[in-house]
Amino acid sequence: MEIKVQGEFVPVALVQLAAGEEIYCEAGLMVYSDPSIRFAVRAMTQGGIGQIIRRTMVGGMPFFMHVYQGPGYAAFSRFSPGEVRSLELQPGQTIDIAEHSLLIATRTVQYSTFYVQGTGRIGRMIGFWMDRLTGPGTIVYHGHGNILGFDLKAGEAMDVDHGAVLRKDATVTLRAFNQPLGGGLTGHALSFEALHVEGPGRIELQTIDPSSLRAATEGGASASSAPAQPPQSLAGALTKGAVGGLLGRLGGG
Amino acid sequence: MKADTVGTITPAVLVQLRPGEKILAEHEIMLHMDGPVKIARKTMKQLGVSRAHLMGMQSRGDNEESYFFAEFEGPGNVTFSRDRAGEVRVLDLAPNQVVRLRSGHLICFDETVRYYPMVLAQWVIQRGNERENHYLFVDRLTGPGTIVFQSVGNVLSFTLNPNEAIRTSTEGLLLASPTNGVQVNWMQAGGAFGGGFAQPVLDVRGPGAIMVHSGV
Repeated sequence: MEIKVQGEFVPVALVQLAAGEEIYCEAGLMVYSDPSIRFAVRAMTQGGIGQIIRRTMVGGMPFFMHVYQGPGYAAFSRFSPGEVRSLELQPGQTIDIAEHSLLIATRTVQYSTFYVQGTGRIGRMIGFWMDRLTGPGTIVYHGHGNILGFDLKAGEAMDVDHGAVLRKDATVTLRAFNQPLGGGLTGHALSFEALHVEGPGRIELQTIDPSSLRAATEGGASASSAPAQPPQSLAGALTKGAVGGLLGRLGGG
Repeated sequence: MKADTVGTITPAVLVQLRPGEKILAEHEIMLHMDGPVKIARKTMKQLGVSRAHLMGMQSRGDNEESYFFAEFEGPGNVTFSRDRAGEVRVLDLAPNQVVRLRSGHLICFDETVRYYPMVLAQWVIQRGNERENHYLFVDRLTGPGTIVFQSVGNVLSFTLNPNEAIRTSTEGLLLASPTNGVQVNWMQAGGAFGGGFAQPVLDVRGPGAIMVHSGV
């Protein structure tokens, strides 16, 4: 498989697949392709029915992934300004990527999900999901804005906004906490959610919170300009987004 | 006209007009104009686009199509912006050279360029008992003259040989030559879960040059 990044501020990942090579991705990411490339749909059933319901109906993660099989080429984009990076995962190497940041992964990469617990306070973050990917294989991902990487030693820590987390090694821990904004009752009333990150391992941050981009797009897009796509998740198919939308608003803090 | 791009990620276009030189643009996208520039209204009828054709376009749900353009007459400077992250391209069209540009991406064009809005492709999505009609609206532009347009995201250019084909998403095609065949096909998914899944795509066939953009 050959990967080439095209474009500058809204890049696409152009993937050249040999016969028998296969990649998967979320629905709706393909920009252009070889007309002869083969296309399929795969259900993500890891963890059984309980995990599927939790992941798709609560977390809004995709239930179906799109699969492209070589020979041929296809280009994928997240359609927003940012950087595209590829990463070769060693056998057993596990990383977590922010949801809706993965562009493509090769067939050998195991896909699962990872839940970051929120603080659970009323009206605040209830947590969020990340894609958990285990090698061997290659992944390509999109960071919204610029990507900033940090290699943390064991016990080394930093605090970050939850929208800033792009990818991390599985060894890096994330813990949501409530950051008061000054002292006293007013400070607590004005407090905000943040994540305490602790090494060892690598963490990459993105300089644009994708939820702010989504809010801008949803606010400005007309119905006629929305791309027509089949349902991306079981949640979408079963509930037409009602439950996901409600929980999304709760989760957005 | 002399058109220059100002800025990088969300660029504006600075157009310098000589005395008597005229360009057309949608008035909403103007950022500024110098004092001496004169502005007037040019209706679609004056451009040779009939009211019936426009009403047909609008009945299909094309909200971007306006009944008139603003005409800017030099001398002076005018700047335009479509308020989006994307590349600005300036294209000089030879006499009778035609391009088809996705609707909503044109910034401005010389008065010598012939403008005609049209539907390049259409498809239907069936959701239960409901039929959703979708259209690919384009601006058909015929030279001579200069046109300025903007993509969403980056522009990827391809030159297709006769019968060479490329597949794009329905949102991805930005510009096509008149010699390019554009057809809507359904990319049917294989595999155990593939039966219910198909997505509309555009199959573009050569010869001709096309542009695809990376944003939506």
